[in-house]
Amino acid sequence: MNKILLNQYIYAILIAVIIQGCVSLPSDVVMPQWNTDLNVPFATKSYTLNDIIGSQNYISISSAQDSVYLINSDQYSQSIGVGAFIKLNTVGTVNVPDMATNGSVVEFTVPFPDNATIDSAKFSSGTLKITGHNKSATTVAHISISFPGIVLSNGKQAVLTVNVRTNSDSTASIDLTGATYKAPSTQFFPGFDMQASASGAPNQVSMDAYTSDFVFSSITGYLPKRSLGTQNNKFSLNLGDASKYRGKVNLKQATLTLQGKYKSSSPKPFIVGVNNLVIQGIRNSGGTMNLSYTTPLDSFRFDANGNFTLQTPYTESNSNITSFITFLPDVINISAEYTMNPDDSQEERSANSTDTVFFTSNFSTKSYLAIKQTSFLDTLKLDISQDVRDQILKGQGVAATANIQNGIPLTAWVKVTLTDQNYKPLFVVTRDTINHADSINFSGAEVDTNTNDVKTPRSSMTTINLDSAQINQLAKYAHYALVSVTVNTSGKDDTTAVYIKSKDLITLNVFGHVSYRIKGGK
Amino acid sequence: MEKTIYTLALILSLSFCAFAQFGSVGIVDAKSMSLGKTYNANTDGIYSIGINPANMMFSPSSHFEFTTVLPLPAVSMKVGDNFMSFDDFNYFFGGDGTKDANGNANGRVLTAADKQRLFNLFSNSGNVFMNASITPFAAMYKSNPSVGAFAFSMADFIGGSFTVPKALIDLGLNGNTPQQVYSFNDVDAQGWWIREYSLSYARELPEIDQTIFDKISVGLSLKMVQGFAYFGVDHVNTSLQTGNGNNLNIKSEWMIKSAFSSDFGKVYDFDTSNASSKVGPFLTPAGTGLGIDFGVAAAYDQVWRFSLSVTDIGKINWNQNTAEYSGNGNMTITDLTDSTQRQQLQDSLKGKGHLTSGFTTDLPTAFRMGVSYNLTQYVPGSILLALDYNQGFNNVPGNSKIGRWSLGADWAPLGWLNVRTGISVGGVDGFGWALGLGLDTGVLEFFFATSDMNQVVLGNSAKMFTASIGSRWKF
Repeated sequence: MNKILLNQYIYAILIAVIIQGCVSLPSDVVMPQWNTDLNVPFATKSYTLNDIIGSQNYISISSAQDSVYLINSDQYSQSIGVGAFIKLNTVGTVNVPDMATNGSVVEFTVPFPDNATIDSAKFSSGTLKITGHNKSATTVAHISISFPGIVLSNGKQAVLTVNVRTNSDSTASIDLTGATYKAPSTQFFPGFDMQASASGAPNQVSMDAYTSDFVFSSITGYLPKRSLGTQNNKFSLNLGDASKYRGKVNLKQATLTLQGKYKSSSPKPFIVGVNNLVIQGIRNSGGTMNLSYTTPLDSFRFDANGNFTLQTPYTESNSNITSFITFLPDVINISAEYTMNPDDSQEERSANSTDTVFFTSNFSTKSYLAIKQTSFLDTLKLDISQDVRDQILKGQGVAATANIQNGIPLTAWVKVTLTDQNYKPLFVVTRDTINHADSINFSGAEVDTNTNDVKTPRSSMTTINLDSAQINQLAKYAHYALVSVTVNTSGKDDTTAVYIKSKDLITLNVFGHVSYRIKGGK
Repeated sequence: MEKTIYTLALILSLSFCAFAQFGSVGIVDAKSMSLGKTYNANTDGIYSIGINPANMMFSPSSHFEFTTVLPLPAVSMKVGDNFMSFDDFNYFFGGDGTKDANGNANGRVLTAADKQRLFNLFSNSGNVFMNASITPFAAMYKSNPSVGAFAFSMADFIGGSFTVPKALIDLGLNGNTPQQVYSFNDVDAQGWWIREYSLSYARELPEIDQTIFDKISVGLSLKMVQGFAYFGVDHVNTSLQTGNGNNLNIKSEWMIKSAFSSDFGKVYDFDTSNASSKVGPFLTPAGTGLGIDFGVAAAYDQVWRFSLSVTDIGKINWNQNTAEYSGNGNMTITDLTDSTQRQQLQDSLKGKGHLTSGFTTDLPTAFRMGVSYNLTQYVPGSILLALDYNQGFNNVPGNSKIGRWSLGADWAPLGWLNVRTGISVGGVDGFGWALGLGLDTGVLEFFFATSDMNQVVLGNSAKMFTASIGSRWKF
């Protein structure tokens, strides 16, 4: 059946062809080609400042507060251990003259070094030393001493025995490493209580006791004021492209916060003092500037809980911080001397060898600023595939009109020049045929002269034309785009700071027509 | 849609059909084609089927005739368009006479005048069509006037057309003019492949006591219709306007219905089955229907004949493998770089398809009337003059709501040779001049014809061509 149907079709076609035999048809059927003008909306987009600047190392956005922090530094932290504090390096000594030699016990106290008062402690190291003296020419002396408050690392009470030959001195010592100390409840004077007894010639035996080089792993009591030394650290500000604005920008809202924390497991840590705080900005190219507080802020204390927060951060009203940030240093140098128990308080407090003093500072500048006309240049590599270049080649002309509603108080001029792979300029893309300029302009939003806040967005319109020759150059030769951007704030003058908020909008409506070559294949 | 469905749609749209005795404007048998598709009051025998079954009673008594694929199959075919001649085609698609570096012909670069010329070609819409009809078998036997005549036929009709919206041509050539509304509502596409099995009966009505006519006959055909494929635009309400800022305001609302025999295999893109194609001569129908033709004919004074009939009353119920593709949505494209907007546009224009429970389409119901006069004086041999009017009641393939008049002349100067000609006006094709030959050997008759001789003589200015052949055995 199929065959029959097919034969019938063939018959019909043959007859038709015969009848139409005088008709000539092209040997090559090929689509014609022509230019057509397409009027299209290239793009309609709104960008908040948040969208535009995105996330950069020196800029952060707080959408909740509608704020932009142009320079939002890392936390610059200094950390100092208190090991130097919980050392007693001096020697404490006591002399016991003419000890009774009838075996009776004599109690006395060896003072702690540095006049410290220790209620309890654990030793990392330290030494107790006893030197016995025997003036008898005939009788050997024996001195036995026990320390009721000290338990050695072997768990036994510290006991020392010294045998002193005639007419001689003899010394014995106890290594206190790992030992613990708890002041006996009967102790009256600060220091180690000792109970000593002696035998030998009467009135011929005496002794000296020494304490020295105590290093504690923990201690509760009184330790005298001690400086931990001066800490000096340099931190990079990571300005990135912001460094290009040096000398062109006035930042009006900057803050510096300082925070301290004495990290201790003790419920009642020692007080930490900070002296001689110096914050200095340093440019790599040279030049420094010190940050100064109106009321000199070079000496302060952590509180009883080991915390410190600068109640009034550095602001332009109490410091030169805006000048300091506007200086746009590459490096921040923070120098400070840390002192434990700076007031030499006798109050009993605790410290551990693992305790650390942290001190942090953090800069931020809100986007309330003025920018003088500033230009910078960038080179972008054009990543255009060959397929896309082939499509571009079909373009015969483009006229794109950009209608811009700028709600950001920044005026910008953008010039884009395409170059070949040797950076030889081809043509300027951003030639504005309306304003006869080689850059397109985005007028900044109008700013209220009283509040310096955005009053109304500003409209601007610009049209860019590319002819077929330029499109040809773009498709065939363009490899780089030299982008020149010039910006300034749109306040009443170039020194009047304006508020730039994260939700400020710029709306682009780009439309126009494309003259396109419709070209099909065979 | 899948490639398959596009292919099938293309075949149906561009290859097809009008066929034997179908609708008010469809192509018909070769004899009728040669008379400018004039057939109402001048046909007899198997050529009455689908026109007016009552005409069977104008065959001789005890007469049997049939047509089959031998010696010539009954095939009619019409291909063309209503907008572009061969000259135009050569000009626009024949290249500019130059070759590129690879030896390929370069396409002609159209000037503004060329674009205007091309656009003007579509001023009356751009319709492309191809129609074909095949009658593998038809037979009729007429007994005597009191018993009547019986006939059976099997005929396939494949037909379709596609109308290119004028706005689309305007857009393609000239681009989009701001604020102008481009309406695509005139887009149309319709095609089907159906097969009719027809059983006809006619007899005279001597019971009517009248003396005016020599005889009056009535006839009835019952048709069983099988549909193997259908697609058609149900409605289109789609437009484009370029607004302020060149924003593209697009209104898209359209629906296409389709049905395909399951023997075509997987034809829909949403069909997840792995059905394969198994096309044969007798396909599983996607739709079935019943149709009726009835008519009355009369003869007067031996030389006059009159005919009235209504054909193809009925519907096809498409209920197997039926689907709808539709798009619906108003949107404004404001940003061509926005992939979401582009995707929305694509989805709206491409639409989504899903299976449906079915739909119905009308058969090409038509009213026909005609009169003929057999002139035996003043000319050598005899000449039969016939005048027809055909009015379709719908616009399904082969039919038109635009009435069509035709006038035909069948001259038999030598008895074995018939020279036939005719003209047709109206319908969807407009004017056509037909010419054909008939060779009558007594038992076997051959027909060759074209209903558009005017296109033939135009040569390269022609926009279409029509050809029809056939043969009939008579006993």
